[in-house]
Amino acid sequence: MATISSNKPVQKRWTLSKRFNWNYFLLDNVTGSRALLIWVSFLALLTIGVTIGQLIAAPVRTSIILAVWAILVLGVVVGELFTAHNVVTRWLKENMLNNVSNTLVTLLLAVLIGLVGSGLWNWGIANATFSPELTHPDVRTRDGASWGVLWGARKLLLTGLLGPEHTWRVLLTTGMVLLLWASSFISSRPSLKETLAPLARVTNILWIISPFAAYIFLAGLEYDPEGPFIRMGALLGGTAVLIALMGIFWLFRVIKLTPVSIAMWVLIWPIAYIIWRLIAQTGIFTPINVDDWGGLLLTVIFAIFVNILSLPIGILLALGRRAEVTGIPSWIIWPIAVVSFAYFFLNSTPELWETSRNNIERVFSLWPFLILIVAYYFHKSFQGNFVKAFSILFIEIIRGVPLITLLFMAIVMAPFFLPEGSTGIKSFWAVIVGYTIFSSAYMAELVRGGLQAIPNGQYEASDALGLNTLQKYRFIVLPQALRILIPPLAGSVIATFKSSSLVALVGMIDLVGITRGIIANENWLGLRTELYVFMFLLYFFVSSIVSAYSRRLEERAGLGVR
Amino acid sequence: MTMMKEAPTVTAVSDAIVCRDVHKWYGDFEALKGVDLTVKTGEAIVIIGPSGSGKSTFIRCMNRLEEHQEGRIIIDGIELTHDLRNITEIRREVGMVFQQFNLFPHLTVLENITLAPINVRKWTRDRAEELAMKWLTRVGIPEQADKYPGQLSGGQQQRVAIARCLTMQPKILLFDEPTSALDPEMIKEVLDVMRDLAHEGYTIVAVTHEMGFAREVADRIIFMDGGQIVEVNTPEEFYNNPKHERTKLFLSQILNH
Amino acid sequence: MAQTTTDPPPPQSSRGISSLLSYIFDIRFLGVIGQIAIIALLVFGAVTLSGNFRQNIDKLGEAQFRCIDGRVSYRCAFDFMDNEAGFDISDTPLNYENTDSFWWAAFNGLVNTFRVGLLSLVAMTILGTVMGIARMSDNWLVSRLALAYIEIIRNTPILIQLLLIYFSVILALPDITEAIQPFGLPIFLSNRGLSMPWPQLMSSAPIWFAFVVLAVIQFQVTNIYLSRQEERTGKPSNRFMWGLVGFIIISGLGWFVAGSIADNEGVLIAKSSRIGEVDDFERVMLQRAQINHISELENLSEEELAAVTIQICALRQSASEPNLTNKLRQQGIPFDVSRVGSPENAQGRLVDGRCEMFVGPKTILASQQATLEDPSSFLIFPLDETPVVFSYPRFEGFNVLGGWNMTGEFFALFLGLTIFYAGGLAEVVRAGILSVSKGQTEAARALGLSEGQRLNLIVLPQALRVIIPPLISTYLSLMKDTSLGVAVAFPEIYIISQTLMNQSGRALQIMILLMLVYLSISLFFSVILNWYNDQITLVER
Repeated sequence: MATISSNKPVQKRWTLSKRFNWNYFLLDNVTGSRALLIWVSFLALLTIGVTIGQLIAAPVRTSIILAVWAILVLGVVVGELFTAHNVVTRWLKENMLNNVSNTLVTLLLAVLIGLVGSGLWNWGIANATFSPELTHPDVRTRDGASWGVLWGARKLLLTGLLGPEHTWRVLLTTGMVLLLWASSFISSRPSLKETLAPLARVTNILWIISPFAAYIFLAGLEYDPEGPFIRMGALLGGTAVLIALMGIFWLFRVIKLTPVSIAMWVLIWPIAYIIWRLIAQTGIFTPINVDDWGGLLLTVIFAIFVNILSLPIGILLALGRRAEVTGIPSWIIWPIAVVSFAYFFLNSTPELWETSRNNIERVFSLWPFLILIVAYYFHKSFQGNFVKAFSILFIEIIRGVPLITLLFMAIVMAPFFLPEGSTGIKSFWAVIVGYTIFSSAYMAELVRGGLQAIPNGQYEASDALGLNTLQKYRFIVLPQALRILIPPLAGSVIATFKSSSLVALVGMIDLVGITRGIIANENWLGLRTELYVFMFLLYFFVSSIVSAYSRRLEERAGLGVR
Repeated sequence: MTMMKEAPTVTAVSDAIVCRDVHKWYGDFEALKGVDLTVKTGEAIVIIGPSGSGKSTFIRCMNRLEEHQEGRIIIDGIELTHDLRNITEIRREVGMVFQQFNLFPHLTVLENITLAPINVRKWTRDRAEELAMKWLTRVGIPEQADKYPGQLSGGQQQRVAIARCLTMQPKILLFDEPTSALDPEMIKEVLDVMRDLAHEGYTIVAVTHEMGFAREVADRIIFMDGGQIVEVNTPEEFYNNPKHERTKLFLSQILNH
Repeated sequence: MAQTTTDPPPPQSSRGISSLLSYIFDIRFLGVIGQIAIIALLVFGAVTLSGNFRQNIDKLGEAQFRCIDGRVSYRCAFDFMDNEAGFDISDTPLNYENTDSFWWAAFNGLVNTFRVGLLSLVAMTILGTVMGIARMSDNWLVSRLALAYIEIIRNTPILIQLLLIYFSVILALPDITEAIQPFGLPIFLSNRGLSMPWPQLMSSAPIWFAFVVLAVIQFQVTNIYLSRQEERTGKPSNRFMWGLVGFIIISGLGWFVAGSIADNEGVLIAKSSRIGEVDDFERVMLQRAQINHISELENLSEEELAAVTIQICALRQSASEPNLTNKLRQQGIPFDVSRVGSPENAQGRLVDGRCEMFVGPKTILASQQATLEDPSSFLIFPLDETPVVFSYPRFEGFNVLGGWNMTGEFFALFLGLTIFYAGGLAEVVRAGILSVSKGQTEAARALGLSEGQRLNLIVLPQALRVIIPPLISTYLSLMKDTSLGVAVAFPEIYIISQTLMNQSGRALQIMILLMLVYLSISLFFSVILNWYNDQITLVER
């Protein structure tokens, strides 16, 4: 009995006993164990030291904090001694002044918050100037922020080096997106859903068109007045591709062929093409160099572009990683491996071996053995399943490398892969490619998580009903997986948005990259901190809003599932 | 030792299911050790047996949810091989009802039912919905058509699953322990539906522990143990006069508790 | 065994077109064909691209693959790495001159990557754990602050955090001459980074380590012996304390033994200086400055002080230097140290009078004395040593010498990585601790375990199982993000590679090396993660 009670967790004996007892109080708060004693002493010393230091440095502020703290502590002590708590003291007793160490921590943190908070307040507001006139080094304040730079450099921050004559096109795009978003938002209100169904349908179609429209607005269209209005190659080629797609979809029974749908598939490209050429002919949307995009515009374009591109690639990779197709049998793998091994071993190795200058090169001259090793592992670890092996390898290699290395590689290496005589690739597109590759590897892992969350029974039921693989994923698996994936996808959207700032490190002039240009201007010389703080807050608010929105979306999508 | 004496000459087509020496391994473990079974069209078969006896595996081999490695399975005159066309054809003609219902939670009841007819049978939506409503009425829950599965009780969900299966107009019905996940008070409503179907002449193969149902509905009862068919018998004979020791032991265990 | 009367129907006809079709529609065949199609597509793409690639490489010229002997061959792709680097690295852990090879430059970068990565890794683990626990504190203020920290850190890009830390915090710190000394400790915080005392091993350190090892063994033996005795007698004894006492005695003994038997350190000095042992310094200094007590040095002007200051030569990064200077510092004697690269250099300085003495290992000193023109006018006097000396940071002009210095760039990257990843880890830790269900706590209490036992035996092992896998992934991400050093110009492997690429004009080779480095790091962490997961699944089974 005695042992059990001594092992009981430490309770607040002095509060339970209703009467204050110094012995219990000390036991609970200070002398209960050696570790507690050391901790409380350390904390007390630290708190006293910091408080005295701050009392000397900032007497008024610290005295006020100390006084408020003392009054609160006194209130709690009185309430405790006479067991007469009111709402405030009870809350304090439970949440801030529970025991001696918490009381000390509260004081310590209050003093530190006072220090940091007043510093930020003085710098950011009290001593700061807000006029764009006051940012020049000669006239600017020394001990505060010069927020005027944000207004002064607004054009650079928003659109980078884009010529002012194109600003209206950015506004047009922004307006289009906001309008569509508002329309979706309104028509999805539960109370209006019925009446606004046609609006919702139109909005959805416009959403599909919007990326193309945005591209036309922001990048413009080439038009050569000398050339023909319609190039038959482009017209027929596009149509042929779409007809082929239609055939494949029909073969896998994803779509049904009715006269209307056939007409749609056949006509959509020619119509789109003619519209495109008509718009180009008007000359309203002259081409803009994509590398002129900058500032917030570029950041947003990156985030949207990459997210939209990487989702389908990510889904494909995830499906590939989970694919359980019949592997290439060993009687195909091994003969090929052995024959090619023999060929290279006889043709390449002797010469390489002869000319080797050192042992490392000698080892490398034995490279044909690599074929056998790869074949062995391909057969053993993946049972000849190439789709799976490729997906895993791709995902893991990309995930093993830092993003900026990939971006840098994209910029440096892209020119190597272009056909001879091409004019070179715009950094923007190189970065988009590198970024999408990176993002889709991560997306693949997210999607894989979503696919794993789907019970096996769903696959079995679809099989038992006779749905084919494409139908199974299209109707059953992906809709459920994507719904599960809304929170992680939102996380990934935020992550992409945040890490898009890294493109500044490979020379892109996004929000962070443009800073270099701004602070080099003699008017805004060296005003980094203001700009960085602004971006810090911007990213923080946008990310918070997106995650809040995703939570709402999740609740709404969760309706059908339970 | 012969166990079956009836129907000496049956043509291949009137046999709904023919299984010959079916073997199935999971790695080193042999789940089915040469199972032979012939089910005639219109016959109702109930498979019982202790857990792990391979009865679920066997029934799942019949529509290729599991792949058998040896032996032959011929469903409705079509042999189940690696041929994609055969698999598709067989799955179209064989409906299956699962223990866990496996309704699609993101689709309404009606969408659940009409999905396969529209996409596999290539019916128009109207036709599929008409038939779906007919079957929903038959299983007694037409008013639930627009709800999501999550909003239904277990018994209702299982009846939706049956309706989903029947709207495809299958020739053969497989039931894989359809009542095991149900609360006792809901078992009856599902069994009633199954009983009606059996009387209507569907070919049925059911794995179940419902002895009353087996006794009343089954044309034959098959007792499996250790991946083999131990005994095949009519219900009366099976319950009153089991031939095999293992059958007796099993029956004594499940009936006397 | 169950015989049936029905004959199995004959196998389906296997002739002509239908047999061919049934092969084509065989799902195994379709699977293989599909894969071969994908392979073919990939190969086609690769060939197309590599055709371009080949052309472009050729166009770039043979310079890319020129061997040292002038031939051109793909095997010489990496020969250029032996060339002279020709650029300086601002912060090198190893001796590096701009005449060293590209390989050596790259290796320095790699070491820098690991230096900053591993240090942040440790600091991040501590900070993240503290924050995760603080998040669950019963103090409202603490938990709110931790929440604010986590939310702010996780919702902003690490790059901007890093830039803010470097440009707006570290570069805004005072100059090195007015460095901040927190709590009066010998730690100096300035816009040049962080400097603090650092132990340096003397030549006698191995002897002392041997004693320490002995002391550890003693600790274990005592522990086992006393616990056996406890079992025998049933009386508890304070085994930990006895072990500790033994440990302190043995290692302390070792300290003195190692220090006194070692006779490796010495000072090479001109006999004319009339310094023959350490104690002579004070006397000589008093004579030079013509004062009566060493404390009167404060009254001297700067020029006078400079005139009497003792000039010492020492090898760069040698432990001998703090050994001597610590002694001088204790006596309050002003001194100045010039660090030289080679003993010969020191000898030269000694001869031309730029140094009064050369401090170092006796063997080096003896060989230098022997090569002097007039060896007899110099003497070597021995210097006591302790196994470990603390080297203190000192400021000479705008440089910090001695001690351990983090440059501002290193410090910024270290802080940035630590703070960012601790935010993520805090959530992991919190989730891990919350994952241990309340029932476990109640069960532990019901069994009569104390709070400490409950935490150690029940909660931690279960929480760690949830925490460790994401923790390892976080480590991997952190190691990869050391590449952000480019934002603050800290010379880790990524930025060095960039420089190498500009210097050599070889993009492809450098890219391959860089990828290999990062892939090896991630492979290392994946292996650990898989090993750990295997352990867990074994235990759970």
